[in-house]
Amino acid sequence: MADPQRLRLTDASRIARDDVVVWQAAVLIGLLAAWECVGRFGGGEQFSSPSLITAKIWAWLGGELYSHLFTTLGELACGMVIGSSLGILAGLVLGRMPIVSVILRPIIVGLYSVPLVTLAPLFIMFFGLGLLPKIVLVSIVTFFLLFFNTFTGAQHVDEDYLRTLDLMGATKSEQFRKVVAPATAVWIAGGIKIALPYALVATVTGELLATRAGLGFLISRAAERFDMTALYAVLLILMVIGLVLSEAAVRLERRLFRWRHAAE
Amino acid sequence: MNEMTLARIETPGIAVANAKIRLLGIEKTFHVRGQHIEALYPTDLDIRRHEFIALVGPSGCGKSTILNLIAGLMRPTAGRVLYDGQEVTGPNRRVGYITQKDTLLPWRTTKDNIRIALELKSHAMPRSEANDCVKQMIELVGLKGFENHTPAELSGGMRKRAAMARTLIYEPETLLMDEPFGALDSQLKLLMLDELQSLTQHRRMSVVFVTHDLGEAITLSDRIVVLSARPGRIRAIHDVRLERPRDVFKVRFTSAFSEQHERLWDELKDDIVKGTDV
Repeated sequence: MADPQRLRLTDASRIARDDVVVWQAAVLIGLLAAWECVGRFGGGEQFSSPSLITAKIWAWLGGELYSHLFTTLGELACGMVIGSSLGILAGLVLGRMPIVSVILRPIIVGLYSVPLVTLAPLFIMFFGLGLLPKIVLVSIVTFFLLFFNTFTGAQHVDEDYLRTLDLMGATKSEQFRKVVAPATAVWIAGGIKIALPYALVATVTGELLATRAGLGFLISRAAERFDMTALYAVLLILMVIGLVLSEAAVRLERRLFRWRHAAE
Repeated sequence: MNEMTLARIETPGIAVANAKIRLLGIEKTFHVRGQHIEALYPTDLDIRRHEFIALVGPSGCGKSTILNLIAGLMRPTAGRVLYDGQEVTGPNRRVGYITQKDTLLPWRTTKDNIRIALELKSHAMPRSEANDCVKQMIELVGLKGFENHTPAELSGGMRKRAAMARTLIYEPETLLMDEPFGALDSQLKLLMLDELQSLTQHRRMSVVFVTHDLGEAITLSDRIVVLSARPGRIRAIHDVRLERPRDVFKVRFTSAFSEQHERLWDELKDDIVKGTDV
């Protein structure tokens, strides 16, 4: 039986949600219009304006943007893959081997206390101005986030599941594949979701410091030339990338872990 | 006369060679927050090959402990558990254990949970054949239509049945069951008892079965072990003198059944009146 009170509540929130979208659009349009007015009539060049920014992005779409975009996304992807592989591996090993964990975990926690983006100059000294220092930076940021999540997941695997499989005659590797891996997968997906925005920050930070290509390079070039329009344009692009990445991660997670959402 | 000699007298003539499982002076003490809790007094019991044996008694009398010891998931504080004459020192892969908690994997659907044993090297089977087995088991335990549900989407009784199917599917030679039918309604329980009886007889399994339900115990067992309240010890062992296989739907209305029930109840009521069970 449906609870009438709850029914009314869902109805109410559905109506409210439509209203909310309308209001949000109105606020956004209002802000953009205000910005446009300030940019055209009042303020100085540092304000630029939405119309100038749109024109800038349009011009970039004609050619220059793609190589920078691919550089940034490429670094991000490489760093994510390397960092999360190592993080997951370390998390699983330490999470399932208490003795190793007692020795190594404090060291990893200690290293994590270093504000990671401050390592960027160090990596530039080591690895030059190419893609490598950024990939290393992203890897390290990703490594820690994935490590901590995977570690927690691997530690919390229900021992009763393992015992059940053990009695069925499952080998250690079968127990790992059938129980530990899927049980930890949820935590790993959560880790990736959290790591994506941090990885994007790390990529762009690296590019800001060692400049040859990438969106970070576009920012620092724009800043050197006092080209505010270009600066805002890159920020807008970064915002869109950030949104797309996190939305994609949320959707993928929901799809992969249907059983978990069914449980809730 | 103490309980142990009583046990021996009531089960005369078991050739040791015929014992599938032997509990030799097993004892179990738990340490909980600095307290010693004696769960099981020194206990001897021989379980015969192909025997269906039920353990009954008030809560906390060590019934589940005995199953855990046979499964090798616990080590006795003293004494030994022999399985086929060999001491059990670790997880005993010869038994299938249906625990009170169902331990279905939450990320697997019903059919994938039931199939899991057949995916292991130790029970490997071609995929199509395995799927047929799974289908049969699902029908057997009445979960048709719920193949693709995850455990969170099943009721307590359904999960219990899925867990049972998951164990029965690989046909372990010995079955340990810890109150498997507790959560089922009485109609379904009878159907399941019937299936369990024919499956275990067909496949010549030895079964150790823990239950609170005396009727269930009489319906299925060759022998019923009555345990006393904590610390558990064997009070008596009753032979069930009813021809097998039994008609689980009708046997409860026979006079032999009622007599057996009364004798068991007499044995148990003192302990239950102590209030350990409510």
